[in-house]
Amino acid sequence: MNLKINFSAGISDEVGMRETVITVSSNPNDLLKCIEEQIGFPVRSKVGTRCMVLVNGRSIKKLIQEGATIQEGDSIMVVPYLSGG
Amino acid sequence: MLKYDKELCTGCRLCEVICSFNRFQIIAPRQSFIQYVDNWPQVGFIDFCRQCKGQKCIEACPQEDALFVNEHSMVELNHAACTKCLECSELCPFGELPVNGGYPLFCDTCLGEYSCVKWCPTRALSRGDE
Amino acid sequence: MGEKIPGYGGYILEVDLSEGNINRQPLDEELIKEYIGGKGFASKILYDELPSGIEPLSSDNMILFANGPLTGTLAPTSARSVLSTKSPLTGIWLDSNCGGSFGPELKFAGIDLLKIKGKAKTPKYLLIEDSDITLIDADDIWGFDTFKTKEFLHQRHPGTKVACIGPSGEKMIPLACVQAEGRSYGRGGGGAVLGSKNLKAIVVKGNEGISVYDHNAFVNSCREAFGELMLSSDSNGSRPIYGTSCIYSFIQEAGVLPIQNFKGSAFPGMERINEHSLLENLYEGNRACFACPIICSKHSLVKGGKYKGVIGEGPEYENVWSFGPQCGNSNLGSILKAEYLCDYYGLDAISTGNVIGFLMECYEKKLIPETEIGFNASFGNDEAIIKLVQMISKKEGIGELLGKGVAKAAKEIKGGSEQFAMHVKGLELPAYDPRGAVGMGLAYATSDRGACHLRAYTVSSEILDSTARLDPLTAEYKAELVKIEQDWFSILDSIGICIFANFGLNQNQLTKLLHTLTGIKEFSSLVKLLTIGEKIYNLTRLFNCREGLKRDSDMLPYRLIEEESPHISARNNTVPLDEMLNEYYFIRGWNKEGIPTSEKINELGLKCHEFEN
Repeated sequence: MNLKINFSAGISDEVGMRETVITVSSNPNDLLKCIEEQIGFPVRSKVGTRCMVLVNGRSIKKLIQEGATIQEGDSIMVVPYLSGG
Repeated sequence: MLKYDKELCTGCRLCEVICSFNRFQIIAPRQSFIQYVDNWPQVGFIDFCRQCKGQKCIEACPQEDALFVNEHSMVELNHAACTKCLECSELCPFGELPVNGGYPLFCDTCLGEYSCVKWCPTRALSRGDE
Repeated sequence: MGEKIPGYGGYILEVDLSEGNINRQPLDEELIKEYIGGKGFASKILYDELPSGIEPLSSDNMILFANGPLTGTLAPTSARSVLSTKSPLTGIWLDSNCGGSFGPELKFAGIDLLKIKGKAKTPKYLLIEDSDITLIDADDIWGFDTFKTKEFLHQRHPGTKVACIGPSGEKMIPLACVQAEGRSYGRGGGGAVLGSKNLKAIVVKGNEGISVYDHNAFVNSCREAFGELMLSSDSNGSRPIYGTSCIYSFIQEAGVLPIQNFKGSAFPGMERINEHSLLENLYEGNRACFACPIICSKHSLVKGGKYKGVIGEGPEYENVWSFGPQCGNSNLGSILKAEYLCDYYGLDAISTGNVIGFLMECYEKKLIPETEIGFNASFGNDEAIIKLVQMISKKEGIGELLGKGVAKAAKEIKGGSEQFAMHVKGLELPAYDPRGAVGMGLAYATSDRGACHLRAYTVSSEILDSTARLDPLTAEYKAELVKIEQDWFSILDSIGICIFANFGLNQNQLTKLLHTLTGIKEFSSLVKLLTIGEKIYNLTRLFNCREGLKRDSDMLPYRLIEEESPHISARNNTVPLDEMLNEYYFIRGWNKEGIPTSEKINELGLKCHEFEN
């Protein structure tokens, strides 16, 4: 399925865009790989230390832990690993 | 000599901190030979001697032996002869000179160490051509 | 008394405005070892010297400005100092932290702690030039806004740094803050306390130096610390570019951005506000606080539209929220204007925006007639926001009530509005909806100054947690997280560096900075520092308990407990406060009423006779 993906703050500078559309399967374990292949951003090596991927505002790691699936209309966001504001 | 790119400056004053720290072993920004002047809300600029070739300061100085060129080919102040008139600062083509206790201060690049360049987080300060 | 301890300014300055007495005393070594500086000093002094029951706006109240040992040094982000007093907004403990350059200048003048007591008979300002300290008549500047005050005093006293109040502080409005060289001692009404003492400003110039215990070791520690900060994707990635609003998109995405007084899920034009649009439309340049490489501050300019030409330092994330989503407003120019006005008059922008959003909900629910306001005040009306900021700052019309804070406003307006007056202990909630990150609910409820995001900041851990141990929507592990952060942040607020440095630096690095600067043996142990942090947090708690606070004050607004979050990501959650609170009290060693037990008090080496049984 095709899903909109947003890039927050400094991530948008690193990938060169604020949003785009990617093609993903329902398996959250594939999501990071899809992002890497389609955007060219090495998210797998950075996730957890320099960035995090949110699906509907919830961390991808939580999703995988819960055994949840990616669904039509889900919102994806790649976020830099940030502190406060 | 020390070079300054105002566009990169953020007004953090680390140059002031390290200058005084290296010269006097205390953190005393007010005594530093490089002084930041703010222009809120914009970032301002820093005052410091560029050790330029023009040496208008020596020309301007009404005292005979207050300002001289030392063995490192740099302008240096002889405190005993200085009357604190600050004509040197008035006529400096780069702006004003930092002042402490009334005396103008002439950066000597820490004799080639350029401490402030090492600590400037944005590289607003850099080494210029000698 | 021996020599000055390295790293410290060396003096306590005590000013009694009633008598006109000025007394500069060497700083006590015991105080340093037990309480470090900043918030630590404040907790000890206010607990010992301010008996309970004092009226915050009376001459009996005291107000402190305290530096940390790292303030004004080579350590990165060493700009910070703390204002502390009994709050006229909440009636309880207040400590308020400020960056910029004022605290460091006080430090260069030799001052680690400034204590201001009593009340001047006529307006004064305090002038400090190293050991030369005088009280000067301020009749000619009483009434000046904070920018004019700063400019005037800079001209009269070249080379100084100025902390001052504006008309709002002079009028003792409980939301009034203290402005200091473009930054603020924001929350809780510190400005009103200075106003009640007839003290318009503190003007300082310091020519002295701060000595360092181990020159090379300190330089190396600082060098390492700068290096670490430059590796962080926060302090050297998003924050310098986007400012404090770098978190905006992710907070919104996670369902934690409060909209329309914490009840809305969307507002017209909301897609127009985020960190990208701020960068594109407002930011003109960067500004750094003293010794800071993170450069989070921006200065902005409105380039078109109704508010063309408005400038200011900011807007900060909290103010983008308080005048933006909190009020259902997407006009960026008005957001900057509102923040500018808060700086101009000297008002806390978080509380001001929060209470305006509250008023808008009351207006839409017809709990208050339009005639009482004077104009349409529905959500999204940017002109109403600007008018209301003006009215609050000048105590005009409905602004007088709003300036007392949202808790008092709701008490007066009634009609069920108390259920959506978003405050804890009288301090207005900032820009995080804890139904989307429940740890913040516990943080707000147990913060020593009322609803505050800076005593424990659990949002990033809860949402971005890479171990997946934490779930933002459940109570598990939150008590532990909040307690640990509160204790550590007490240390951060005592040593004089910025909370943003805490992200890039680990605790051992900060310990090393402290130890190489001061040479104090106790400061070389992280364990000992954490104990001091716990002690400070318990002391401010005891200050509040002495004022009568207990469990029923550790509450959250009805809306957060009983009304489900309107945000999809928060999955209809409410805050499971009771569960977290029970566990929190247990971990803290407090009794079921939330009062530290005598075992805990003794364990921490506190002498609080009222609580020993």
